[in-house]
Amino acid sequence: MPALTRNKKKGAKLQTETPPLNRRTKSNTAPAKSHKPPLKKQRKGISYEKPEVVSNDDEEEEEEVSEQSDEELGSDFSSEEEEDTEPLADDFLGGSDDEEEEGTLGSSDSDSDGSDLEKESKAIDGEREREERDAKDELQMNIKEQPDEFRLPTKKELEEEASGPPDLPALQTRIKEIVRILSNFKDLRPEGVKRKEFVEQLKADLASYYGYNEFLIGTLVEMFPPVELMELIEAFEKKRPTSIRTNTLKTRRRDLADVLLNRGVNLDPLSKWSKVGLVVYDSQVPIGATPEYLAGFYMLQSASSFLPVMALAPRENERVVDMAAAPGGKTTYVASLMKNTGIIYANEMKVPRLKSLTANLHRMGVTNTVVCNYDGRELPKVFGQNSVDRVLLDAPCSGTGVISKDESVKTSKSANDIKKFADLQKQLILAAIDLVDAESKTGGYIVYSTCSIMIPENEAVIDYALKKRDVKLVPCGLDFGQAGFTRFREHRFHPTLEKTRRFYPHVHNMDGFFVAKLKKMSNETKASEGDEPVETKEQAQLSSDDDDDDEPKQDTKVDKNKGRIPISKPNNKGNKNKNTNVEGPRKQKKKRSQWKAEIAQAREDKRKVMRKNTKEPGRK
Amino acid sequence: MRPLDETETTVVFEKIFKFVGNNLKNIVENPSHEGPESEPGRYCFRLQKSRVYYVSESLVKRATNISRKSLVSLGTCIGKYTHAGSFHLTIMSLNLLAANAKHKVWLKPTSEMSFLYGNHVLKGGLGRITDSIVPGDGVVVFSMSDVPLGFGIAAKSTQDCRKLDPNGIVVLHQADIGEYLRDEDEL
Repeated sequence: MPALTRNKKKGAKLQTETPPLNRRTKSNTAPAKSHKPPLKKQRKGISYEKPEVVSNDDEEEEEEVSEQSDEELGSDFSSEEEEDTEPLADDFLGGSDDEEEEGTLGSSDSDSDGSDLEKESKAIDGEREREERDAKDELQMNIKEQPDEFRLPTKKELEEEASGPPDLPALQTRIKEIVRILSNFKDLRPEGVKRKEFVEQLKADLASYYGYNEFLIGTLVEMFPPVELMELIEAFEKKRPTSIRTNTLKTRRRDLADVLLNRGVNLDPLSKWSKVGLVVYDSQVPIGATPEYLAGFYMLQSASSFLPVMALAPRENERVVDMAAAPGGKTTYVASLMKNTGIIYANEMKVPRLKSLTANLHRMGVTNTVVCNYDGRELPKVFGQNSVDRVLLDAPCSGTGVISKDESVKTSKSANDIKKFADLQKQLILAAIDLVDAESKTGGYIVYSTCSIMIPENEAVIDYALKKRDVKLVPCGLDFGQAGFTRFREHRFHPTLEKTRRFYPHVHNMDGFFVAKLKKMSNETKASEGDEPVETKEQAQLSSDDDDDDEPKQDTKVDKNKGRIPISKPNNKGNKNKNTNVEGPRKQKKKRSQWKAEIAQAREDKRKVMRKNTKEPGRK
Repeated sequence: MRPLDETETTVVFEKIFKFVGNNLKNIVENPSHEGPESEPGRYCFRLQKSRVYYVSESLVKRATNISRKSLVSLGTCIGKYTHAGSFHLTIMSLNLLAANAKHKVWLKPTSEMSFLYGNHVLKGGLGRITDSIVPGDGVVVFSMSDVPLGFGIAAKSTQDCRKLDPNGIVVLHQADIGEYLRDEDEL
């Protein structure tokens, strides 16, 4: 174990033990030439007649020579030549070697300087060369040994580890090793060991080093390659920077920044994509208790929470529903974007959180909001279906993206929890879609967001919504951020899912987040009209005319839908699914619109005939 | 949610009148831009669970289908009725009062924090004061940078304030924005 001995030697400076390795290691190391004044006296014995020797390997020779001087203080003091500085600790250790080998030389020194010095210099040269060689060999050995040395611990070793408290440094080195090997598995793999074993060992080590439970670490390992996984986990250990959002109903960002700087807060604009965000580095006053905060000039809000509202982009005089509003950061942002016009319904299911929601709304000066206390799934019954322009659903989730804020998530979430959340989210998103009016003049959008990075809570929920309702994904308007997964392991999602956005702490320096923006195409469930809400009556007529012609054939309906789709935007897969599901109610609805179209058509025909008739008699 | 009846309306208006005086007309007739219609509507007062709200009419119309148990807040809450039946204005009405206040007081920066902790305004902390304040008037308290901090009742007239010693109480504290942190539960 050469590596260990090296350390030991450095530590044990004043010992006079002399295993032969000592000299070697000293020659390799390039220590800072520390000067220890008391020992200088002893060095006086070294002569300046060996300039070559000294220049090459100063330490060594000075060590050896000084050791001699240690031995024979009397003779040394006679030659009062000073020497270059060198680490005296090394002197002692090296000196002891020299003592053994060159004691005779030393003694002869005192008698006749000239010839003995020459002999000495030769001996020293020889020693030096030997040491260099040995050092090089050792180095080579060390380099080679490391990769070979690493192997997965055997069961016995694991049991031993499990019995005592975890050895954190050893765990960490092992983790780094495995990550290194896994990142280049082809080249670095040891013989006969499968990748799976490495992965299993890595999972176990990460779980015990960072404190995750098995389920969570397993999912993370599946989602990320090893190097990125380490970055992510390290990022989760640290907190994200505190950020605040200016309340544009009461002030501007510049003015607020000035006031806060005067109070002693160190801040900067958040980033290019936000005009209202500020990031706080440190502050002399508590940032959540300044008079400006209390007067409602800003809101403490993490940067990732700006994103769903920016994606929603509400306009003035719209009706907006926020289905899970507490504590009100996003709701107040929506209100400030709408400039207190229109109406916002802020819904929150949990009663204790309602107080903070109302307090925040009042503090920030929001007047266009109605707060209610329902389960989100009941909202379509309360407000009526197809009644609002936009819906923001920041769904309750497992919180795996905000581990840096709440460490308990590491251990408390299991596969069952994720599944329960996913079910709840699916129901909520369907309720949200039902609330929106596809025919709204300015809206028809739903934004779904979670603070989780788990796929069953994010992409799977959106995919479910695409299948069950007539909606389609549109770009969020957030050009930074990674695209969502379109496939993962055995799941295959709709290809448009790449328009959703994922945010990670190690890439974007904000909490883990997922945002998706859906546009409702029509108010029918499981239908595949594909009509745009902003379509004019003409287009609607045209489409219904098409239906008219092809009424008897069901297959061609599908084709006609496809044919119509270029006018509106394509959603072929979804359409197919929906077509096969329900034919009856759609037929009936189509018949009604067809009748209207038929009547209109008949009127047109009559008019044409009338015109012809009036023309024929030769009026004009 | 129901509209206020006669007695309730008079009580509420009296309280507000102390602070805003004739600007009460402004408050009641303010055109409101809330609601999805583009033409401005009007504001009205509603009572829900012993709290009085100042809401735009269009919001009221649209909140009617929310059941009484589930409706938590509408527009701006301006005050509440206590069990005993008396009406108090709460801090949430500050924005409304501050915009229309007749009597104002500006605090020096050093005594801002003291007021935000719930203490009364002392003469030593007074920066500016509007004229013609009569004891018993409602006064809105501002910081020197015109940020509304709260409101209270005047203890002395403007003339008397000048003669007071520095520790004399000028404004009796009724509500301040520090309550958002101190008394979150009671709001």
